[in-house]
Amino acid sequence: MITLTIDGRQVEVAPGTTILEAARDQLGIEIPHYCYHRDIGIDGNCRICLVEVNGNSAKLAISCKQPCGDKMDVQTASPAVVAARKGVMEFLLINHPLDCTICDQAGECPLQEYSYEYGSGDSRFVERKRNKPKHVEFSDKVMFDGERCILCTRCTRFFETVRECRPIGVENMGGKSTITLGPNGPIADPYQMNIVDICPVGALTSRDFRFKQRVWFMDFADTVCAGCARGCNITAGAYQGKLLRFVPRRNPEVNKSWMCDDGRLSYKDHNLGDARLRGAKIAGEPASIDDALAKLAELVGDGQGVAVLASTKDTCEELLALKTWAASAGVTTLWHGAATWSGDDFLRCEDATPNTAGAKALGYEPVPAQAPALRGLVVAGDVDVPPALLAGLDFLVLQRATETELSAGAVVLLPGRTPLEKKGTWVNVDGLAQDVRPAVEPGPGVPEDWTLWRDLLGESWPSVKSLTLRVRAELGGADGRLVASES
Amino acid sequence: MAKVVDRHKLTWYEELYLPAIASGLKRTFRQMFQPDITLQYPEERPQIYDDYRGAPGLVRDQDGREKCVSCQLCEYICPPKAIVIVPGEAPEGATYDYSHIEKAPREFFIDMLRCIYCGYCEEICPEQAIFMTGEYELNAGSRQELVHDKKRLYEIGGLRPDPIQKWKGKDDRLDAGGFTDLRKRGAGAEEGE
Repeated sequence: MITLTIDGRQVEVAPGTTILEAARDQLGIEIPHYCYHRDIGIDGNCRICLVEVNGNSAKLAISCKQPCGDKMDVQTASPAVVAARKGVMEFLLINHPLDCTICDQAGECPLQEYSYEYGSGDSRFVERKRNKPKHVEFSDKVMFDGERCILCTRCTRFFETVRECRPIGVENMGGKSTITLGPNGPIADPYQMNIVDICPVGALTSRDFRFKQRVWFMDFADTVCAGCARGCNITAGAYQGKLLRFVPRRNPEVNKSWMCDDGRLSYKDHNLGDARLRGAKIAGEPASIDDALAKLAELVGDGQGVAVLASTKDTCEELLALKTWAASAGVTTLWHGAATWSGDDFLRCEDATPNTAGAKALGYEPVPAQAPALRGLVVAGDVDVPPALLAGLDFLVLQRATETELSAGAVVLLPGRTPLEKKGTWVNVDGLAQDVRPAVEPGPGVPEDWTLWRDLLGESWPSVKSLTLRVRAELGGADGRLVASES
Repeated sequence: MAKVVDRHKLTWYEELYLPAIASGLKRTFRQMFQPDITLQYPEERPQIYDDYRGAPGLVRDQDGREKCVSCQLCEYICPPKAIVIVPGEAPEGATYDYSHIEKAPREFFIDMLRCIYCGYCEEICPEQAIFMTGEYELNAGSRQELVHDKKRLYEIGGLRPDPIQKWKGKDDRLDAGGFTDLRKRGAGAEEGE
């Protein structure tokens, strides 16, 4: 171990740790940085992370690349460092267009933040700013603005180190340097929109989110992507109850800082608008939820010949409440649905639902190929019902957020919430239990899904928290790898 | 505790009342020969000064360009939350002179039933696109009419010459020599697929 002092405080770090990492992880000191990104690696070109080592104010060191040395004395805010940062900020802003008024990055822009914190607030530059290619379409998902770019090369290094391809690179030298497309045309990588997140300025912007809304008007919730079994941690952004974007949230255990483009754009599936089912229906006629539940209990009767088919987009809490009710009603057949999409070897899983592992751990089984003849079927959540199950049914009960072509044949229809409106637990493909938090509210007539099964049971669980504790207790015993997500 | 105030006892002169009536009439008759200060609105109109804070309006510059770029700072600062902007891409066909502006308001609403005429929107606007005008006659047959939309706001604001025109002439072809023309190549590659 190496012992050194940073800003007068002694820290002990493993050999090879950089000064920036030591200050961040041990002391919580944020040294400003643009080109360094903890999931891409070190480059050392932006020079904003300069620190003073051993009182050498004539030659400052870049803390992102300088490894800690034994008995080193590091100053992160000495007068020489402050002056150097101010100088670097001034150079970065010389050709930056300062068009924050029309820039989507405004409000979450490190260039704005560091300029406010370390810059001079004034410009001495009187010459004409350099003009570079603007509004360049790098693909149908990403837009590039060469004038805003500070050439930190995070985007090119993301493709090189994380995706091992080179669709973009730097062309020209000196003041004419700019990021440009390679000879193969628009970027085709299915993870390309991550460069929009890691771009520290507004040079790369999402064409989907472009000019939709200012980030400071939006509400954010830390939750989990419902796109596949990986369960990438995300921050969901909504404006006036409508989801506008997903961005990945760092979790080194699951998705690092990344997510796939399809998952990122899947927020659109959760904006239901008028298609949403509000309140319950009995035989196609609107009814109160209490009446619908009473009808459901009457239909199920002693539970003989009745099966439950649950969606693996439901949370463990909902599945546990459903299971508890099914057991009390004499229903012993518990199935879970399945959906697949194309997986890959990076983050995407074949399984396109987020909680298959949780459903399995709670005792739900896949629908067998030779399904037994059924009297009734209770379908909970957004799930495709295999047509074989529908043959010869006396009754079908659907509980979901929208109506489908099956709703016409359903005796009882109950409302449901989308994954982005739920609170609970999902277990991802690696058995990691992750907190799901609601990003938007569904509005009237859509109670939380688990309360339906609670009311059927006649229990008095006050909130989903009581179920979460039971889920944790039940799953924690079955699977050792239950870790809460980094929030 | 109640404070007891002794009633003022009238003198014999005051008890006559007639002198008081006479002095009142004197003031009345004197006033009848003073010059009028009442404005015969609506036939006569008050003088509106430049810094009057009437209904806010959006302005165009001498080139007829709508100056608002929908940065939404006025929406942010507006104390009664009267302003709602729907941002969007600037309309196609913008000239090279203004090629740096990519954003424009798709819709712009100011709810005049909420507006408190504080003038913060004008003060915060980085583009000098919204101004408090001399417009003070707001009447409508319905509440909806008093939610001014973009069209109405430009009617109110009109044209206001801009001595600086900071976006003008930032032609992105100025330094274009030496850069790969990606827009062309991007389009060509898409066609080739």
